Amino acid sequence: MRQRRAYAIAALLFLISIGFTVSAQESEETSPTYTDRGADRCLKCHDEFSEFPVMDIFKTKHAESSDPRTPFAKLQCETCHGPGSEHADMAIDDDEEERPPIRDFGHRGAETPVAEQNAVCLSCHDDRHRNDWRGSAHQTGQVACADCHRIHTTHDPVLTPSEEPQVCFQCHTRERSESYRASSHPLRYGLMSCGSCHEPHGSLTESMLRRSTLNQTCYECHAEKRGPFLWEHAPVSEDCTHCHQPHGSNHPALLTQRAPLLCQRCHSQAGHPSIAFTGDLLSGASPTAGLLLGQSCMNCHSQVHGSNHPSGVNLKR
Amino acid sequence: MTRLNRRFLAGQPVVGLILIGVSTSGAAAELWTQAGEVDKSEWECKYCLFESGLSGDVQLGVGSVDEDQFGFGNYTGYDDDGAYLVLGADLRYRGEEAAYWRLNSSRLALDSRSVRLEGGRQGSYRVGVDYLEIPRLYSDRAETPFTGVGGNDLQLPDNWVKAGTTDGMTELDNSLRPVALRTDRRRVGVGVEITPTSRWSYSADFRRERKEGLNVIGGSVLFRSALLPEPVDYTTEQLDLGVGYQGDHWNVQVGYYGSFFRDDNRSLRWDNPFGDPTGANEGQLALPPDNEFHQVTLSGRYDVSEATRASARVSLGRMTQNDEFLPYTVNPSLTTGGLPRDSLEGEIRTANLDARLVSAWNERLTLQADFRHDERDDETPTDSFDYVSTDAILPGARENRQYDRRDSRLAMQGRYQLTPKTRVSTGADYDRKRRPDEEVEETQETTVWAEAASRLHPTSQLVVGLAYADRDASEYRVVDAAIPEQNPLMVKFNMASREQERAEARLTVSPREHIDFGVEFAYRDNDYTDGAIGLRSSRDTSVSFDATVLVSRSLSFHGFASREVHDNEQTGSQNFSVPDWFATTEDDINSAGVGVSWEVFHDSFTQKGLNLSLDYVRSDATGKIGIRNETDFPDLESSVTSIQAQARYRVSETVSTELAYYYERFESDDWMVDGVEPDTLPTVLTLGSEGLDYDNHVIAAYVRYRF
Repeated sequence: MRQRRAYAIAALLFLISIGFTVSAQESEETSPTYTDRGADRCLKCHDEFSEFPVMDIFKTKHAESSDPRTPFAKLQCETCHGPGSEHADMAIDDDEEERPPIRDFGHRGAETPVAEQNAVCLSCHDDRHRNDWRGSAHQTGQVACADCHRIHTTHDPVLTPSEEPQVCFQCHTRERSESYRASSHPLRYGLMSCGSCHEPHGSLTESMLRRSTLNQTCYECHAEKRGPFLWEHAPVSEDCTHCHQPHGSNHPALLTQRAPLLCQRCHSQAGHPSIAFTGDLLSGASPTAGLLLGQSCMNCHSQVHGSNHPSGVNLKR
Repeated sequence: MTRLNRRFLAGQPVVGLILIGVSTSGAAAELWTQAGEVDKSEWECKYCLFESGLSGDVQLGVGSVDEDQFGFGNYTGYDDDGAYLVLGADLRYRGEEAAYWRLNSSRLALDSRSVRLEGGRQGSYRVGVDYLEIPRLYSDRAETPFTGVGGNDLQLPDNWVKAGTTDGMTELDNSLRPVALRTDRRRVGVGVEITPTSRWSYSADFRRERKEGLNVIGGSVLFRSALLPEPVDYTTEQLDLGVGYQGDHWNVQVGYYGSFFRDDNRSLRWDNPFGDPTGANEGQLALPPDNEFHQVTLSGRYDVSEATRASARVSLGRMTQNDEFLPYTVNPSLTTGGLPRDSLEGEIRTANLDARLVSAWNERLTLQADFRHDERDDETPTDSFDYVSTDAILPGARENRQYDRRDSRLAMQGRYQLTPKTRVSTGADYDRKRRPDEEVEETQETTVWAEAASRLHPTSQLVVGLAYADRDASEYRVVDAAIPEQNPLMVKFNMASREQERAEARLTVSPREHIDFGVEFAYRDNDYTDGAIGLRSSRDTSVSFDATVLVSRSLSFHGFASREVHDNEQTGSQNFSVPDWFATTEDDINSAGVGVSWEVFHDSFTQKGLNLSLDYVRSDATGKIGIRNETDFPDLESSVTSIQAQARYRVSETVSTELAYYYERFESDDWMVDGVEPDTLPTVLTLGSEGLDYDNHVIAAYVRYRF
């Protein structure tokens, strides 16, 4: 039944797509021209004292004229910003008229559409590392390359792993908040980057992860939990996020919930797994306090990620 | 393996349907194109200050940590009080023919130091080396009566007095010794990428990490347990190799990934501190076994046209583990049969196929199909093992189990530019999971979603998204060998029928240039509709606000505030029947932060200047747990307050003096560990470790030399 529904939805989308006959808007024909002196025209205004200083680009890879792939081996500033004669020809002290814009970069405030900005960058960078950019959450979410990257500077924070999370947190505010929780990965301390797990330029896996699956991504740093074990704990090998909240948690070890209730989501055997643990049972004298305090269920069932002990079936060895 | 490959290609006509649809599209997306011939005869670039040689900056100075507080060193390295050296560098070198080097380092005198060195020749090759240390500190207030801490044989003092409960262990107080629970990771990586032509690329990356220290692990004998300092002595080596070819409208890569995990400790043996009627005077735990993972990947893309791109990745992997088994028990009074094998001969084969087809049908409409398929074939042999529970009793043999899984997902979406200011998107996902060895053999989930993004005004944008998912589970069956058996009304949440609703909205407003505000709302509700025992529902709600205000080129403010609430409802049955208790949990987190960056003055000619920055963040979390009509648990509270401030006085173009201040306070109330001394619990000998509360300052003064 479900499969039929999926087929029906697929067919519907196909028909809808056939039905669209939206004529492309004719783009306005213009004939922009390049400046007569290239970067020298731009730098007359855009020196280090200007509102938009750009001189630090000469300390970066983009300004390597001996590398034929770079902007400064091509059309210098206008490689990326487009023909600029109209923009440059206006006198500096002409306050009467607004200066014709050139192609600018960034998200908020930039007049150039994000798709056009990114197409400029991708005209050089559309290599194997950007295979999955199209259709990725960042691309469909209209994220501009310049939202994350700084070009006219010697130090692009997003390329420094210790500073990269602060760039990501500008949009991913929930993850920023989670990084301040009692248990978190060391993102805000600069010892781990978002790129340790995620591929910001797109990947074909869920949540743009770097490896084929979520668990394979986690095992890069937590290889001791990979197994295989003689006694596997089924939900563990299926999905780490059944129990863990990777961006931060109010509970130890990034757990989504506090034991024993975390374990009682799935364990209902008669006896101690089914006890209704209440606040009254916290007293050290209570016979069940040993099931609540310390490490709770893990006081005994300590091998929750799997055991290789021949007697470890109940994950106690 | 043949079975895996065949399944990749079989039974996916839906993909074919979509492929036909997009390939008949006549329109193509208009891509940005480079300008043609340009007269550059007068392009001298005489104002272009191309950098060559060595440049960068180095920092040298001294810092001081106010107090000796263990928790403050978690992830920072600031666990000892007193002075430390501030030493860091960011160096660049640009040479002839696009040669370059870059060195970046920070916190070199602390346990959280990092160094990255990268160099090469642009367009030809790149080599890199990096080093990183991560200190993870759990507690320095732990105490244990065991000797041999750090090794895999924990012994009690000769005069230890065993007892059935901790209050009878009369030598406990005299035997307790402090133990610091921490682990330290030290990671080294080397990498090289060679691009001899614009078509071919070769890459190799190798990383080796040592993780050493002490963790906590519970060791039980019958119904008594001792929390033990677990030795952590891991080595993980990872290798990535790749070869790629870039065609005109396509590329392809072949890659290998290898992971090699080694644990220097195979087991942890300990003296049983409790008197035990079964004669179990000691216990032995297995520690994580060595394992390996090998994976080969073929990936690539093909641009069908300027408007249509297909990309895919296929990976085949093999996880193995073959550590020699420990004996069933270290209790000599118990008699068991022989082990069926000396080692597990564990092997799991994985296969992953991911593919995407995205096509800009015309200037307004884009269609996309994503397909993912993951397989896990457990080839580990199964056998019957004599089961010795906690080195004490023999409840009967158990057979180990395999877990095969298949997960196939198809997602289709369309994005349509309704008006120049408004874009709408909609899609449907279908996810079929098969777990032939578990309680629910198959679940099928269908998700439909829609999103609209509209530029309401030239300076504001609103994005609203809604999604609904319906997961159907096949019949719940008892296949678990667990003894005693599960309550028949239990349906595990990860394989239960589920209805999920999601909503997200984000409004961004830029009322003036350089002033941005954003408000975001997210909601997710899961209702589990099968069974009656276990997790019944969960809800996550979050609201956040962020703002950036550039008052001038020299003064800017930023801030954020967020509130998140996570609710769960679950049931249980003490009578092994219908639900007789109902629990709710709620995590409530409020966070806020503000910051300011101010260039107080800057003299363009002397280059003298003063910059100040300040960031303040506060995050409070409360966790509530309650059973209906019963006494609630005390609230779980945690609070983080963090302040970072910096003053930079630029003496000249090359020299600046800087003052940095870092304050952080962490407070927690956690009934699970607070006040739980080693002998607090009659049946569990704990380590008495409490939370990591701290309240500490660091101040550092240093000189930065820029050249």
